[in-house]
Amino acid sequence: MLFKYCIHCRRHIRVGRLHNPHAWIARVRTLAQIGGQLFDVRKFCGAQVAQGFFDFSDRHAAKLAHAYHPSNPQFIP
Amino acid sequence: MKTRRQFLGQASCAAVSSIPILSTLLNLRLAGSVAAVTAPAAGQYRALVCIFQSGGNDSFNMLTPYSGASSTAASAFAEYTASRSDLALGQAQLTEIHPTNTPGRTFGVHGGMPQLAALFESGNAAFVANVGTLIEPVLNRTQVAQATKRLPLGLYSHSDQIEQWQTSVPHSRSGVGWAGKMADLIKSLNATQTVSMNISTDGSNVWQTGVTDAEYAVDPGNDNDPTGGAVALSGYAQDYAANPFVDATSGAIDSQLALAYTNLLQQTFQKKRRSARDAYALYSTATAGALPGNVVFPNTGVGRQLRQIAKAIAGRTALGAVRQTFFVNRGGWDHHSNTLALQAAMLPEIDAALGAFWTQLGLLGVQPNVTIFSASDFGRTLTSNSQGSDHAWGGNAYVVGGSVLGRKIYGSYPSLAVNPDSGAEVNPLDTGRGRLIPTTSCDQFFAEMALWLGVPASSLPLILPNIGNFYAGSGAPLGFLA
Repeated sequence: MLFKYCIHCRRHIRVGRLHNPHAWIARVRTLAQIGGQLFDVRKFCGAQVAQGFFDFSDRHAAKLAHAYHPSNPQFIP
Repeated sequence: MKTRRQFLGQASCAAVSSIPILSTLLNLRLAGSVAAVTAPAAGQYRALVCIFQSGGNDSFNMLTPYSGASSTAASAFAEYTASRSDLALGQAQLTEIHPTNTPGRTFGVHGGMPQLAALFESGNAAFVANVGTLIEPVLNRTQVAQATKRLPLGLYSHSDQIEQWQTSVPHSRSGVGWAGKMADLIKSLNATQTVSMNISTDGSNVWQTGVTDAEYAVDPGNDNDPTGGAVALSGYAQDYAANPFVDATSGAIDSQLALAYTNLLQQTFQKKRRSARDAYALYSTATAGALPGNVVFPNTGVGRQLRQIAKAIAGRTALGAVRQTFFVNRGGWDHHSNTLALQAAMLPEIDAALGAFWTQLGLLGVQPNVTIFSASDFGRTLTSNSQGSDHAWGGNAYVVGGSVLGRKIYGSYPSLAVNPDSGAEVNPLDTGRGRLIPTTSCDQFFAEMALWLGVPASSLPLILPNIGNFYAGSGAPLGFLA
């Protein structure tokens, strides 16, 4: 089990398969405002975030932002 | 001190409690206190507007001595001039104000803020002097130097002090703000939660982030199009117009939103998107009407933000809101150099927007129902670093509103004397270079407004965990709100 300190969570999180949790979480934090609503990823443990990411993004970080974009019909996993 | 588990339990209870239960709590609080802030009647609208001046406003040039003596000098203005040297404003650059609670003394408001000065003189504005982050009272620089009192984490640091002004938790690092906690407790007073009780015109912020609630961020507009409004999901339109692309995209998004997910993160993400879709529809409808009176808001960042807030207040009935908070942010106050010129350019922006907003509130008939207050990271050093000032601690804030017991300076306006590098101490509050220890805590400042908004006094420690170090729980914490 891999634990790393996350500057966004300000605590140690279980990062599971994530190789670079800061980069992944920072990316999602930048997408935290969804139509004016706060999507607070800090409330999820690393395992949930990892699972959610990989389901959505097929392990391709560059596609993540696009995959999360509400206008993208390919968002459906 | 409540544990986190206790707080979560109480917050959850509050969130699902009925209005009559909360009203009873409010009445009990009223019965047990004398001369306290008047809690709102059932159904009465009240709103707080925070104007955050991020960067650290040099607020001892926003509110200065003008005439009379300080505790350490026969002429407070001469003392101010000596301490500030090349940062000192002349009396010609100030608007003299006449507080009713500082006998023998008058003060000066920066000349770039004539409307704030006029609001003060008319009894609709007040100042809170030398307010800052504190865990417990700190009386002198010896207590700081010898660490006999607990001090806020990260003093003089932007990120820490911004966070602490917004959380009122100076003893640890927290991402939950005191307005967010208020929403956790009292948002159920609002008829619907489709649009949050907490609305931001500057995106995400800590102040309005609670345990169970978070801000709803709206777009204040921009230079080219100051209209602004609710933020739609990209490509989504409520009315499936004739545009087939919009129709197809909206249909695709609706089909996505209908899906169920097993992963908690995915579930929450979908829930947020559904909330965004519904909030957009409600907020857009509620704020569609024109504001009365053709008030001209300046096309500046603060002007556009306050105009958007006026629209949300005008649409409060449609939004189902009897309690709201609003967050405005104007950055760029970290004036390590060129302080006088930069303040002369920026304070008028705040002042003009504030004046238009006040006029608009009058036309909406809600001046007694809205309280505006300023906040900033910290005050700045009284001494100059050569035409600039550096990060410090206590500073001055203004409050504006029809319920403000105005034309007064609350707290204690400190001596602006700066201790010499060697020799006898002249000002025990000066920790060096004119970094003043606050004589009023943020907790006192915020507690007054929390009570006014309808938070029961018994719940204040849930919002402001150190309030017990500054306020006994009866009467008004500072007394600036009726």
